[in-house]
Amino acid sequence: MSPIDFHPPRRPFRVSYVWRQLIQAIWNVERAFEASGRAADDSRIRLFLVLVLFAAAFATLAFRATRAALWARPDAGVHEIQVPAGARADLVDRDGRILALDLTHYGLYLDAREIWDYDEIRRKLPPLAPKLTPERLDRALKANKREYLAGGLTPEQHDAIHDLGLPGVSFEEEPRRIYPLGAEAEHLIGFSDSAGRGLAGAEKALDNDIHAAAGSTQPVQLALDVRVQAALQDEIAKAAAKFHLQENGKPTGAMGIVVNVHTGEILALSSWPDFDPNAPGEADIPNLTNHEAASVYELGSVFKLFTLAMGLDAGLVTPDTTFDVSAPLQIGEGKPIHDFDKGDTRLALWQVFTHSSNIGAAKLALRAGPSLMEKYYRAFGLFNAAPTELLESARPILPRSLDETTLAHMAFGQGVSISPLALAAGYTAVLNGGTYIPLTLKKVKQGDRPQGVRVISEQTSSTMLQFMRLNVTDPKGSGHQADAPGLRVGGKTGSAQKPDHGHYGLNNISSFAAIFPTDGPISADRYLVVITLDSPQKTPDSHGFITAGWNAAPTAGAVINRIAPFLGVQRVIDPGALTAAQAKAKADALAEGAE
Amino acid sequence: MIVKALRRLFQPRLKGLRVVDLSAFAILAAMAMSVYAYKAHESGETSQLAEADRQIADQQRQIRVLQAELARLEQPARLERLSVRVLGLEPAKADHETTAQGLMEISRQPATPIAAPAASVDPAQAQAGATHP
Repeated sequence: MSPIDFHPPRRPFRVSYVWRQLIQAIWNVERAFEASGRAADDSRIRLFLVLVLFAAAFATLAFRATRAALWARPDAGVHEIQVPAGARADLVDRDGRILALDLTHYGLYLDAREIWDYDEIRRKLPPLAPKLTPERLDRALKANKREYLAGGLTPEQHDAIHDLGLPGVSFEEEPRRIYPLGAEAEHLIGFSDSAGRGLAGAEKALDNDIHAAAGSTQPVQLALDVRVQAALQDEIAKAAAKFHLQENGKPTGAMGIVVNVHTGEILALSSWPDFDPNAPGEADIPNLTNHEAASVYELGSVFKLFTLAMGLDAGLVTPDTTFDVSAPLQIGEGKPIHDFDKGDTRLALWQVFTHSSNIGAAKLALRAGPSLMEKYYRAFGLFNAAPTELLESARPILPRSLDETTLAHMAFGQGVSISPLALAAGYTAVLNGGTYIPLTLKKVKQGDRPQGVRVISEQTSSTMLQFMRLNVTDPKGSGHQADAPGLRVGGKTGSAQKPDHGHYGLNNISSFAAIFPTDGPISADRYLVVITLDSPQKTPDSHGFITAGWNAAPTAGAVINRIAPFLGVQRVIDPGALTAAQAKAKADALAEGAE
Repeated sequence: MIVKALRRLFQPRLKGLRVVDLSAFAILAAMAMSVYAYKAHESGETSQLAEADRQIADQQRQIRVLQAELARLEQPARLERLSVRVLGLEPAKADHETTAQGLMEISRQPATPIAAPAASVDPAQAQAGATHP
């Protein structure tokens, strides 16, 4: 055998039992002829036997042919639908609204050998095929073979060209991915290339599922709710315009996400600036980035929720434990840690949260020490990329060591950069009863709740929910602008100075993480809204502030106000509650006091 | 016995040709004709089937195009833009929302007439309205 002969060695020929019996029967007949000794009869009988054999063979053939001709089923042998290569299943939202689908488009071909009137082709074809360039048409007319002219013809364009009846013109079907919503939920849905490979978002994350479902009538269903998405995206775009999100004259970014805290379903995700996934090649490259998942930021005081949850859960403090915040906290030779001056001297733990005291949070972190901080922060998912199907999910930037200075700053969100998506996953764990569950793009079956990993007790989770609500209702709370009438909103602000060339610059990353409704048992349906604004500028509406309470918080409130009816959250109007006008007057008074 | 019967079957001749041969030929010709007729008929039906399949595929393609168009037209952001621009609508305020039970309470409250702003009344229209009860 040749060394490159890949055929397996032949098995030795083995005469089967039937074959041996047949040979034996023939020999028996032969011997019977010899024994008879009559040559004339011998020939006739031999001929007769051959005749019988042939007659039997022809009768069998005739029977099978007649049966095949008269009674064969036309679809016999066709067992499965042929799915074109690269075909993808439809993507739909949680209520079955189409987000992405394959539509048959056409490639246009020309064979110059079949054409006798070149001028007619030059005159009639280009107006109906917008993507056809004169150079390509000339090249095809000079070629001595069938040439590709243009792709992506719509069925209407195909019919219009076909109706011309031009010689030498032919078409081939080519599936093309269409995103009917255009620049809506585009960072979550993503897009695919012309070969049917997912390149971003759910299209990439669920590529295998989408290919597997192609050819079946079952679409791939996402957790996304198009109505919630529209409200979120609209408010994000309004915030981007209102707070002039830009740095050095270039637009920065605004992000938002809505999550069901018990299932981890991502109901909406927005990253501004937007792009049209039907033509991603025409978008500016930065616009293609899903900043919610793929960008990491120091997110500031929103981290205090994690620090306080750790302190409560580890038994280091109770809600009434007090902290001296009268003087800046000096650690070693570093810069002292200050609070935003609200005239506080001693704060209970819940006030550390509602007044957003850096000093209080830092003191708690120092009391916990590095091992406890790392244990809890790791459990909240802050030291890893957010575990979702989205492949864009970015890894955090972590401090090299957890010395005292680092711990103190980490307690209020400095020195560690994570994606807003990871922040949302951490908040989900703290506020859903204390279990960490991965956020998911896929719809979870009605009534199902993923098991998750317990990270804090239900009691701690309940207390943190109350802290969140207090931060919105307390007159000195930083989140009062997020209150939506009757929706029992809770939330936490985060205003982190943005690094600029190795130092903290003048711009902020403003975040607001909101939860609603905050009442009811811990297992009640609840939704998390996280808004992050990159470099908001001062406006008359924000009374000259660029902190989250004046930009991200009202944006979150506006989103919640609009999406609550879609999520089935009823308003509970307290007759004694402030009206919107009264609340605004109170906010204005607070702002004047702060100035 | 069988051999005799076979001989009787093969002996009769018609103008020198065995009757059994002529019969077999006639049966063969009839079968060929019937198969041809069936195949011709089936060919017609197959082409009709193919045409129906083509029409179904066309219809399905058109349905897909319409589904995509419907999804585009029904997208909430577009409907909201149109509602604001064309109909002058806006999202309902919190105090305009109520439950089904709340509707009963509202119906029991006395209606508060809303006075039309004076500047928005066109005098010509007001006069015309006065002549038509």
